[in-house]
Amino acid sequence: MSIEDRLARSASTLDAAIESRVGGGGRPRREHRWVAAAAAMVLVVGGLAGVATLRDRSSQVTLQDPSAQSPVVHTTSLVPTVVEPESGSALTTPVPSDVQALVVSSLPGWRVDATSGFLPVTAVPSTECPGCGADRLILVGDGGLSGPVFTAWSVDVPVAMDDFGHVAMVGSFEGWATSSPVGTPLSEMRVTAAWRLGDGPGALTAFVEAKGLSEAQVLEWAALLSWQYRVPTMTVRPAGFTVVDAPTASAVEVGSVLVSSERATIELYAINTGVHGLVDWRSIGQLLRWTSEPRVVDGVDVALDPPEPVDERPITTISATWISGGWAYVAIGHIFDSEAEFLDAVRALQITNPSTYAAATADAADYYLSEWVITTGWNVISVNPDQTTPTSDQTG
Amino acid sequence: MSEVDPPSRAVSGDRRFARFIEPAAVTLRRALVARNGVEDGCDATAEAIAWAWEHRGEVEAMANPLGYLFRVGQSSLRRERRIRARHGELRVEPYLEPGAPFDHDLFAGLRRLTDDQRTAVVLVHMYGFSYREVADVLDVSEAAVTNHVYRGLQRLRRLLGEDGAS
Repeated sequence: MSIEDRLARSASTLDAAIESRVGGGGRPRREHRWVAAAAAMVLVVGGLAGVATLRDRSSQVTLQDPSAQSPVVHTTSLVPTVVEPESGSALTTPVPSDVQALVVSSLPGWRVDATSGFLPVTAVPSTECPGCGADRLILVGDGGLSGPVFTAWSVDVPVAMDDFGHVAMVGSFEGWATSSPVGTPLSEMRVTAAWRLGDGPGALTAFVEAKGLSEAQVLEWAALLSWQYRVPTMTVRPAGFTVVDAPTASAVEVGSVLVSSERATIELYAINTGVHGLVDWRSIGQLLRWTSEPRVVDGVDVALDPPEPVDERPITTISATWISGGWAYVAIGHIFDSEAEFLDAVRALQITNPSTYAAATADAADYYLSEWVITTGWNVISVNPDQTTPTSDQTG
Repeated sequence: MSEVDPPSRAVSGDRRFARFIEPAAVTLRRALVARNGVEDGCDATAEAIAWAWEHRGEVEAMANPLGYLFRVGQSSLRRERRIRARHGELRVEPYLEPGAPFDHDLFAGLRRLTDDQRTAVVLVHMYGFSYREVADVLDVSEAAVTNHVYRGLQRLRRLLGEDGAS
């Protein structure tokens, strides 16, 4: 039998393998990868999805006195790094948002494989992505980054709101809402709602998005928002929730670095807008889409996305998210024998000065943020004007 | 600023896009699996399709949406840095019923090809794609596909025996 005939006869074999994989057979899925895909689908085909069993935290929520909200700073231009930060662990060394967080590994045998440098973030909300680049009100509940989160913002671009699922009332306004459907790996409720703040072509569209709260709660809180400005205020605030300070960076930047040993690798992403950098629809951390577990590492609250399945060895993907100073960090580890080994490697990520960083990255490859990631991806917030044109894949 | 799309128009648009994306997903999945293996290929396909739904307006306007979505899938794996670690891992055994017959030597040979060769050979000779269709998916020239197929088959013949007899 010829090679060509053998290939043709093997199509059914490969299709069977694909069907097994797509249908859930074969090796276990890396579920949190599917969380993001499923969550993305929720946004666009929410109307087709069922409504999940709600995790009601209403007993935790009471209403308190109002307090002022920090003003939102709009960023327009980059500021070069001229200040050398104090060296120390990236977990515990607070780097101001206007100083680049230059990170290397201090573990013996680890090196910098690649770096993207720091790229400007210039995304703005658009019809296609009204949750991209918007200034927001963010409330974080007990549990820090691993706990419930509520965000709200508005856009002045046309939005097809019926994409968001079923009709829902926000106070006296009719809007649309969607919740993470039954059967997705997202174990915590994720709710998105949108409604118009007025009539006519000039009216803003309001959005709220939350995880760890029931849809009823989210709609109730949405009705408490005051829309005097583009970014709303919540004059009656739920107990146990803290308003995240608005980012203060004069220019928004995202950077990445790949560090590795002979076996393990950490992709580290950093953005100088803190928690705000983690909730954009193209977030580096998918704070609203992944379910994470709280850890405390060297006194710092870390949201850990554990491996799926938990007993996978070696661990192919595990990630940690934390805030330090003006920066949010997401470290994604590959090929570790345990969570402890991964967190040890995270501890060894060190803030360094520009000259040391330059030396450490002299032989590093370009870790280019692909067109998908740069323009649309759900992993990294970055719009680099020089890299928006798709390029041919050169891998392999 | 224009008004919000009326629901009927948006739903109609979704259905139209679904009619495009559902068959496209089959082609995309085969191409990404041929290139990256079953597990990563399927994951990459899911992400590419999710991306496509989020950006269906842009996708519908593209001259070669399949080629673009292939790169979206590839980019997602690069982001996960799985390409370097697993490329060429076209293993079917873990996904088949125990004892199910399959051409073990052929798949072992396919794993020895370059990514480009394996992808082109699988799509052309396993799934019957035309060279033009493969060129569109991979966003390369037909001449490049011809070269990949020719060299891939040559190597397979060397690996499996001159006539490829099983």
